[in-house]
Amino acid sequence: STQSTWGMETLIGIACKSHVVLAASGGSGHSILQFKDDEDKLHQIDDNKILACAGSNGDSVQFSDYVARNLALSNNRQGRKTTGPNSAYFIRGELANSIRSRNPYQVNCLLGTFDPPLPELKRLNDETHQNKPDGSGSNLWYLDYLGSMQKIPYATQGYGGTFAMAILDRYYKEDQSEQETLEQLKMCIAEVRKRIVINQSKFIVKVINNKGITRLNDF
Amino acid sequence: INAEYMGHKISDKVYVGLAGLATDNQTVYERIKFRSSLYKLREERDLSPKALASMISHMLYERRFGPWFTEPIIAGLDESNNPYVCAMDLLGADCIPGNFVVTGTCSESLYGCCESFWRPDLEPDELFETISQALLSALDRDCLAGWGATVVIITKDKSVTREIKCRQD
Repeated sequence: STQSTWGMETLIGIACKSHVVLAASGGSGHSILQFKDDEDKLHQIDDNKILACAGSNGDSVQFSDYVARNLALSNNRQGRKTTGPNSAYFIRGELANSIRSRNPYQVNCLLGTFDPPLPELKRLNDETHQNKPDGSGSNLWYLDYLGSMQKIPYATQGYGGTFAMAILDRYYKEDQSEQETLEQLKMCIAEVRKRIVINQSKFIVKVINNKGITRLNDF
Repeated sequence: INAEYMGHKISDKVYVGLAGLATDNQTVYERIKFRSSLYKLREERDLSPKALASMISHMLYERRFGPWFTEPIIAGLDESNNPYVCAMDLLGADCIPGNFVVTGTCSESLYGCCESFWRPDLEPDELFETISQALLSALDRDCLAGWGATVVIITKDKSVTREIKCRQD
């Protein structure tokens, strides 16, 4: 890997029933020099999807732009918004192809989405007065640079992620409120700052819920 | 990262399991699913385990000089409901022993366990006990494998999936 700070950028994602919270460390630099401390790594690839990319600087922007444009094309072709799982499998496919190419994308990602119900399933539910799963709700996928994908309730990337994962293992509950999630996120970030030798600077935080994507004050 | 594994179902009577690099497991499974769905649409019947094994073997050998890092096993009942198990290496060299096949990080331990516990003509419930004990014994000694286990018993009427509790380390 040409990226000497592989693993030094922390990403944290937490998906609960009503919302998805994603946080990324703001540091962006080269070797010992840090260019920026407020780089926004939480790329909005659609109005209900965030792809957080960590790893090579150029690759993360190039890859997220590439994904966003392909999703927009797919939306135009299909005449409706791409679903969360659809985009996740697309991104996985691109990463899996990339790893065996001449110049692989060196990005580890977290994809968070909050999907509206699929119209046909919603209509089926309304007509039959049932409450079956209709494709709506929050999703979080862990995608690494090789193209392995896991759909999990909470996920992290980077060295700092190990500590954050431990805290989330202890405190996470699927039906917690946004307030509780942000409290847990604060705990995770405090632990990352305490235990990782490199300065983690600001953390950019975004929330996706039924209102869309909101950027919160940096932690 | 995750404790959920789906003993990948191809049809009611045929399951495939993939061990190795996670990304290649997922890619190869997607390709197998694609090919077997296409087969089902064209032939209007399910793939037999023997045909599936042959298909996967070719799929893996296609990549002889840049292989998928995955070692599959195929298990199922053929048209006459006879059991069939097959294991393959990453290049598609298959092996059909007739009693049991193993794959994964603790495959050597699994060979030992299965050799001790397996007997011919086991009933479904006995087989479930046998395979669970063999799996658990091997898992507990392997630092990389574990964090839960799923067992699928395939009989001519149905296939039953059960999760076994095991050490969470």
